[in-house]
Amino acid sequence: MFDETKREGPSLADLPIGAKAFVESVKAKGSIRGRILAMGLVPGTALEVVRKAPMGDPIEIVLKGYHLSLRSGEARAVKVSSTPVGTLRGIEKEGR
Amino acid sequence: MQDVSKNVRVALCGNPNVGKSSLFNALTDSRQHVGNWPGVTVERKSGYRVYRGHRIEIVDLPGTYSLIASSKDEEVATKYIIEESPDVVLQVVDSSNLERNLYLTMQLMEFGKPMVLAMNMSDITEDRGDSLDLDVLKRFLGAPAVRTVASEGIGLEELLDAIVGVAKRIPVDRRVGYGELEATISDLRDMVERDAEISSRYPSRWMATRLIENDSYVKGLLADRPIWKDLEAYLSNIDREEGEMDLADSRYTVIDEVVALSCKRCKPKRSVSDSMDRVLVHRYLGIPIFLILLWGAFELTFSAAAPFMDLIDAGFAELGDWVAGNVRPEWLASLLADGVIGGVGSVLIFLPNIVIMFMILGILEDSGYMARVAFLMDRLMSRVGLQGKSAIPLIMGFGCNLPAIMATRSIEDRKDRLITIMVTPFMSCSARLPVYILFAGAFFSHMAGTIVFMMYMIGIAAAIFTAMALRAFVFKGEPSAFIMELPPYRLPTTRSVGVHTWDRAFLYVKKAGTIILLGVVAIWALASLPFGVEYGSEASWIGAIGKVIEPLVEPLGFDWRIAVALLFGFVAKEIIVGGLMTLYGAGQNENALTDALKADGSLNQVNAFGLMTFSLLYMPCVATAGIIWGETRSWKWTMFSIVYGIVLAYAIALLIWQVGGPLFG
Repeated sequence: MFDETKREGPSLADLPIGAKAFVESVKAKGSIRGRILAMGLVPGTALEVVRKAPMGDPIEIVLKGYHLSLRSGEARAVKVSSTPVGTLRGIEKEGR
Repeated sequence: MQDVSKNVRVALCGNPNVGKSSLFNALTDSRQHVGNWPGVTVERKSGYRVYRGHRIEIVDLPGTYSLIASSKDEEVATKYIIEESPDVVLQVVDSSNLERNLYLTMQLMEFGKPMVLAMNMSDITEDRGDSLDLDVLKRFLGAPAVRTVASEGIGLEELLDAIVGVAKRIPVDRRVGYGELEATISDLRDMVERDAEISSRYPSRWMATRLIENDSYVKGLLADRPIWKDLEAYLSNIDREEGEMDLADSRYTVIDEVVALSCKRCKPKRSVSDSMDRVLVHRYLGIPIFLILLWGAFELTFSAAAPFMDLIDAGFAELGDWVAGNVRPEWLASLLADGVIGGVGSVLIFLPNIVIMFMILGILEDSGYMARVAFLMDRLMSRVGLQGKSAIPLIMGFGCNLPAIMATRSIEDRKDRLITIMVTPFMSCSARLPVYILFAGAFFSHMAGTIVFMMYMIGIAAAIFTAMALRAFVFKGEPSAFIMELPPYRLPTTRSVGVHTWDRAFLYVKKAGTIILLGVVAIWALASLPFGVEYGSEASWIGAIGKVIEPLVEPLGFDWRIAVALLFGFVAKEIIVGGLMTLYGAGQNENALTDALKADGSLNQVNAFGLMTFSLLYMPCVATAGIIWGETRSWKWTMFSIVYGIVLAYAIALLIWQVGGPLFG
């Protein structure tokens, strides 16, 4: 694995509307972690930011063909990269 | 050909918004039983159907995205499948959203039970030109997959055939390969299998994966077993967070392969839904549009309900008069007319409101708009300690607190739900309006409208204050997550809205009816005893209580008559006006009451304002308190809601009279 303490990559919360990216890793803890993973935010998943709510939070994304909203608090725990190769698991999924 | 015994128990699972309720209704017709799961307020629905000599019992499990026991719903579903051992696990799958739906399938497979998949909403997928190979799906998942359109009743027979076909057969063994984690899983399995009792009751591979995922339910099953020490030591040496991610990753990898092989052109398109969202959740237009829709819903609720309410009111008045005139002895007539009929009437009069409101809510919910409201309002609501999904119940509260509190069921997080329930009574419901109209009209003639509007604002302020205080002092710690699907817009079906409305209306009548009956009989007894006194007069027990508590309310500028009227108001707040009419001897004439109040030298603008504020804030009415108990199953929180309301109302009315009295009095 990478030394992730040294490298804080961009998170889902940093992406502007219309941006496309791939999930790199999920940093959330506890039960929220399980929920984020179950909704399909697993490494390598392609996603796109659709819109933000009034006042910029929560955000709406599209992944695996459905729409999901989450607060920027949760979105910050989802690290993303612009290519699916950043992950060692890197099973490349359909690259939109 | 098959030796299935005649009873088949089916656990119905699925993600939320996949048409699970429609399928349940279609399968069970109306032979349903609604209750709660033991110990939790998650609704339990079961029903049955007789099919080709089998009695098929279907238990509707809560809609969940996964089965790690992180929420009550998931725990209830897990527990049912694992402990009550249904013959068949039936999953409703949204065919137009295969990938995420199949995640639950992957977890269900780990239970090792016979499974059937209902590939629902297949019309949507076919309309957009997808082709789904059900045979391939069946081969990969080891479970028959049947094409259904639940809302139109398509595919039910095939589905029932499939259920009967797999019931009590040895399930096809299908498992997800977890790659590098297999060694860890195998170690954990070996350790679990050392406990013969546990491994004979629960699938050991399922336990192993759930242990990696830190599942509280499985941990609870093992916690007092001798093997737990070794398991715990082993688990503390592996990176479980990494493991949890690897498990999810592997499941989705399998799903990708299955979808790639079984589905052609499964590329979801939701152009219609997307263009609706471009307007409905627009950054600037979204909230104004919501407010307009809301206003329309209110208008409709109250204007459409009004004639029915008049009818019910007249009916009960008629009945009361008849009973008063024909039933003897007199005390019994009074108990029936003033107590039971009056009290039950004051609950049933809201039934038209409730029915219409739940019809509108059902339509908004089934169409998918509710999720958008939560999305739009979340930021605003979370600033004051609530969340997006609290918005709907609170707004409904302006109509009537009762259905509003029932509507909090859509909030999964327990703390968020409790806070929402606790602040809902501060939403000024329509029953409080007559009190405002009376006093604002009598004492603030030129600015009555402004004063009434201020009441609503004071209620909102009290709700915000209470929510923030509860969040800061009682429900401390990690705020709940807001991870919510925004399902595509769909046309609601009459049937599903009808069933939803009927369920809620029935619950209202049942719960409110039993508790309010007790409440009104108690108040009637206090107002009529000792024998022979005039109902609710100074000489009655309630009058005596009024006299006793008069010194308590004196600092607020109220006399004993107001104290008694406020006591009546606990049954239903519009009774305050009726109570005052009796106490001021104004008969049934509101104008006479207005004159009497103006003539009463002890009342002025300041304590009238205080009284309005007090009526707004002091404890929920009996019916609402009953529903709070019904929904929270907690005497502690029900009592809190009552006592806190009184304390807050007292404090504010005291402030108004003590500060405002000398200034303006």
